[in-house]
Amino acid sequence: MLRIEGLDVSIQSVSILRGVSMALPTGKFAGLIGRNGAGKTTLMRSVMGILPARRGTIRFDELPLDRMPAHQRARGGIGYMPEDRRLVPQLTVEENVLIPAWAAGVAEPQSRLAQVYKMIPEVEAFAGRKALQLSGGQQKLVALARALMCGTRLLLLDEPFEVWRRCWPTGSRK
Amino acid sequence: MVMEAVRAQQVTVLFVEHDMDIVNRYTHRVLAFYEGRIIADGEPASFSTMPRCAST
Repeated sequence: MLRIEGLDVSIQSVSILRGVSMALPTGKFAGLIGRNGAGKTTLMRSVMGILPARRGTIRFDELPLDRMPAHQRARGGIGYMPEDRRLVPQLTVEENVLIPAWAAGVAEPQSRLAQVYKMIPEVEAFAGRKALQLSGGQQKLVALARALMCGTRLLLLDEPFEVWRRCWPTGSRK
Repeated sequence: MVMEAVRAQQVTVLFVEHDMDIVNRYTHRVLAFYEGRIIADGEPASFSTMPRCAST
């Protein structure tokens, strides 16, 4: 269960989230909708630990996340795909996908990597290329694979379906 | 394939999306944000009458 209570988040003294509360049971999918600037991405970044909460609590399976750094959250099975990808351009695709596993100290990352490649075989096909050589759609795919590396219990995905719109614009969504 | 695999593994997922067809297809819950607050929270089917200002 992801449980958020009374979450306030500010960025450079500008209040972005105001008293956000929600609870999402294990295994459920929730879609966040709203205008740009409404706070959707800020909520994701707060759950991942990239933005600190000014007030309120975030718990995942009763574990308090509030003051836990992002790499510890990754170790706990939380994966994040930012909307703007944030790949390291000079690293290969495979190295980019492995970054959160390295940061979190995941045991046997190659085993998880094989599972991720099974879910997104397209990424394995260009695993040896540098991220800077990829198209925007391919970069989104790699960012999704990177989120899946550690996101074995909770996935935070910022516009994931952009991947399908970019990579298979006329194909079926998977 | 990815979403089906994630669902089978009982992973909890929060995702941002602007296309309500996708939201309706893949989610159990929808959270509508407006100016930093959640102004609506419910099953996708309940969002057909949501205020237009909450959508994109």
